[in-house]
Amino acid sequence: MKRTKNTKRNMTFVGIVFLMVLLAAQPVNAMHIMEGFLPIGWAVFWWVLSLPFIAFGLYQVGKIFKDKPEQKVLLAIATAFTFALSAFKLPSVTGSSSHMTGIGLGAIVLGPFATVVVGTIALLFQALLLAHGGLTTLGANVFSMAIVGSFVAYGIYKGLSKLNVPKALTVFLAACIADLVTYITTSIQLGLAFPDPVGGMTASVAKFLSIFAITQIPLAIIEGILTVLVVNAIYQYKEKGIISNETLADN
Amino acid sequence: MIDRFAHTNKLSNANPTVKVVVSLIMLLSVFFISEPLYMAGVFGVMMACTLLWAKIPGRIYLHTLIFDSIFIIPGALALLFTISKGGGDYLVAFNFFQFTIGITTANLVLASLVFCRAMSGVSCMLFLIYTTPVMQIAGVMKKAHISNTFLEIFILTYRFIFDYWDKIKIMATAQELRFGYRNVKVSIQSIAMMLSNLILMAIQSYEEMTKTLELKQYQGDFHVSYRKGLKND
Repeated sequence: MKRTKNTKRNMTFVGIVFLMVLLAAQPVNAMHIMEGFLPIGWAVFWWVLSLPFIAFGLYQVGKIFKDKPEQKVLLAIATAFTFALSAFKLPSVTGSSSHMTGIGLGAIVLGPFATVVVGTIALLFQALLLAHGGLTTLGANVFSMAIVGSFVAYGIYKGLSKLNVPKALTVFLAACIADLVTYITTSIQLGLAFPDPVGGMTASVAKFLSIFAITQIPLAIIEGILTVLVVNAIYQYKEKGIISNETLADN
Repeated sequence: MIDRFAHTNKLSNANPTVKVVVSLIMLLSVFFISEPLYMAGVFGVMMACTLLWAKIPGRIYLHTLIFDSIFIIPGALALLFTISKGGGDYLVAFNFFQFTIGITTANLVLASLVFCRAMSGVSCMLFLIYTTPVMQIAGVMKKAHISNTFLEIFILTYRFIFDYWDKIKIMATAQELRFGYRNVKVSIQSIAMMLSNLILMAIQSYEEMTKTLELKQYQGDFHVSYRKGLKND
């Protein structure tokens, strides 16, 4: 009798906490790891992994700039655009306010290496102007969003284009899967840094995956749909001749 | 937006290198001294500096702080609970199908440590971004010999961000007046319309700026300067 009462009380307590987790998880935005959240070892580790990509991206972009210095403006516009996407609070299905990453769009229009640079600077500005994410965790965030996200999006886009999959579906899948992969990578990063004391690393990754799934899965679908609509609009503008063909490299 | 206060606070004219170095050292120190008391101290000192020294309005600061803790809390809660199949040394536990969900002492220590560290880290970041305008940070980055390509894109982006911010606000108001964003489906359509319009504006402004730069005998470089906290910075 006493035991059941205890369990009952425990259940109520856990129920309340679980509800709190659900409520608290609602406003998680594009899921950047906050400042100070990763131990220093892991923060350095992700920085070291990300730096070669950023450096190579800068090198490639710099090569283009030598011939066409005005492309700097284009890249800056793309970065500002990526940043501006975080201003769109999507009233997503769960009632949360989430925002797009814009990485799928960037990888399709600019290519993966330029997108790494664009994503890095956009993340830096999110840390400096909006206090999202942070400086020590910037490496980890760049890795999950700008590197993994853009290469996956680019790979899917190029691969499916060769297979004659309809354009809209290709773009949708590229943007949507890039978003999901970003979220999975972030969960793995958190899981690696904080292995569960009982269940180990896998349990920890599963824990983070399930907490963030609430907002991230609907968000990925919405981002996919939006990217399709925007890419369609770009093509229409191009056909009508509103945008000159030199401005956008043909993809 | 935080940027406005970065330009108007009492410390905006102080030496930017000092501001950047102080906040970075405080930030890094939290990682090496894992004492909750020390972290609370850092949090208090950085908050006091931002509020009392730089005279940032408390209401606005609190708003950002609460907003940030909303990001930190779910993560910390995830660390607080552990899920496993077998038993363990739980303080509180309950069964959920065949899994056991509970809190162990190790969880409690880890979660509170990470929470404290994240909060004090955020206070350091807030000190930096509330007292230092972006152009000063760019100047310090130049001094630190960060790649010039990176810096150029960085400052150009900074310029365009505010351009777009205004355009987005105007367009959003116009759409709301015409019943945009009234449900999920319409919201997605509204956002897509706005984004494609914004892209069009972006590309037009790119073409215009290219012409302007040509007229100005643009040589292919934008210059970033480092100034040591002068007036009229």
